[in-house]
Amino acid sequence: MNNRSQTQRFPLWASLYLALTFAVLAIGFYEAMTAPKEATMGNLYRVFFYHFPHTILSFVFPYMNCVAAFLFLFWRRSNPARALKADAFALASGEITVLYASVGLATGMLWGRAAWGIWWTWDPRLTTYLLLWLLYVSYLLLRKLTTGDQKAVLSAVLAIFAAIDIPICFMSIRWWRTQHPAPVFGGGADSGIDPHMLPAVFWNLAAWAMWGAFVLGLRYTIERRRQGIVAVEAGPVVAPASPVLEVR
Amino acid sequence: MSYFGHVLTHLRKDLQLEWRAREMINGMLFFALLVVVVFSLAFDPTSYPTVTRQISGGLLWVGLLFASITALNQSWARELHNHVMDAQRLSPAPASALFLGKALSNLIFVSFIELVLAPVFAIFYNLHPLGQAWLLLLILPLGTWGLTVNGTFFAALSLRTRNRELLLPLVLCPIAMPALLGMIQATTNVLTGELEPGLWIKLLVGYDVVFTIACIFLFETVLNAAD
Amino acid sequence: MIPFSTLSERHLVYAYCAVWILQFGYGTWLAIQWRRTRKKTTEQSG
Repeated sequence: MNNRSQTQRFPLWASLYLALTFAVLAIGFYEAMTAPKEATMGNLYRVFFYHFPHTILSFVFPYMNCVAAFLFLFWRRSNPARALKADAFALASGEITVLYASVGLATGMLWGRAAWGIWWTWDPRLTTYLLLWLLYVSYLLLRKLTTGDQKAVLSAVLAIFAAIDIPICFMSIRWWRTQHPAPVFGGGADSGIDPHMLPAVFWNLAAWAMWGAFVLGLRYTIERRRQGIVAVEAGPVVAPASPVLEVR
Repeated sequence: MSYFGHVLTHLRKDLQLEWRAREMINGMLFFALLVVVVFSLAFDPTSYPTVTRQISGGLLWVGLLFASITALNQSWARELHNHVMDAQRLSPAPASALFLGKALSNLIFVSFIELVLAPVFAIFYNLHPLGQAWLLLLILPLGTWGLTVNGTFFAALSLRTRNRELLLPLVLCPIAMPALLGMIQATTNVLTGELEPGLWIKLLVGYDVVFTIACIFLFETVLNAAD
Repeated sequence: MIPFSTLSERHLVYAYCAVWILQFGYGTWLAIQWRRTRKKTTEQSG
């Protein structure tokens, strides 16, 4: 009975952190709405304050995923307990990558359609971004379609391949578009940002980073709990390798 | 036996088995020819030679990509059926030699299809390369290896999944994007003669080297995934 | 009060709403999952 209340109680520090995150989100929203109007786009450019943090962060989470995958493979035999934690972290960061990349794509497309009249163009940044999204969706699909112990190993391998692929994608597509110049979507980070807009940029970046850390931690916790349940249900029967293999 | 001895043994075995049955090659060949016909429904090669030349590179590689995937999906079928993977885990021979042998045999099969398909393309779409045609002899194997090495690896990886025929293209295509870009751009540049394909050839070489190393190092991990 | 007359204004609103729906929707889903996934301790295996 009191165990039930223990597991369901959300830790105080987490609640405080969440409250702080919402406060920063609110400040970010306020700053975004009160920043001075842009010359060409009017109010529409305010999408940038949400678009930019998500696109930047969606390149941070995949590398967390790659490091976690690598650590999982590294610890797999020597320290299985830690390896499980690494795997939970890899899954969490992979999901958050897809989340942030989806938001980045959605905001970018809505902005692009209103500002430049097109939903999409195949410039280096957007194409690489779409590839990022595709790669991590395929990571999640692989996890969904695999069962048992191999899920962690196979998805770790894919995570490493995906992380190697992203820079290669970016360079190759940029070379391609240098040969065949095409419209580039959105000045954004390239064109200079009016210093009056900087507070809005920083507050929103901080807010969405804090939110990202929160959902990452929460997803990690959920996954760790699920791992615990699987371990208990498997019972004490988890057998070591057979004698034939142990000789090696 | 040396490492390359192992690789050659595996390669010879795959070639011999395929030569006797010839199912995969025939399947791929027929599929690739169908692709040529279906694509021709989309545009008119005779009336629009410039457009044809611009898109043929892409069409050729899309056709080869689909043909390769049909082959790759069953490339480990024999091994699975005969418990070769378990035998490999118990043997002292390096697992990556099995992988390399398999990848090389897939390379040979797809290259054979290319040797048939490229002239068929040239005939049906009235293509004659305006650039340096001999470069194609470099581009085609480099591009094919990029597809085959990752394709063979991910085919082995998806062996243990529920929906393996579906998963292979879903996982392979995003990873292979830079290589596909390189091979398509290089081929198109040779066909249209407009630009130098040197940059793309370098990209293909880089991609092939990086991913061959990654596949060799990680194959054993995938093989032992269930332990 | 919310600007909605031009295409630009509508897309601004859609973009912000999309972000909130995706992010807070995911957060809500996680919260539900968290409540459902009890920490398995020994007393529950009985």
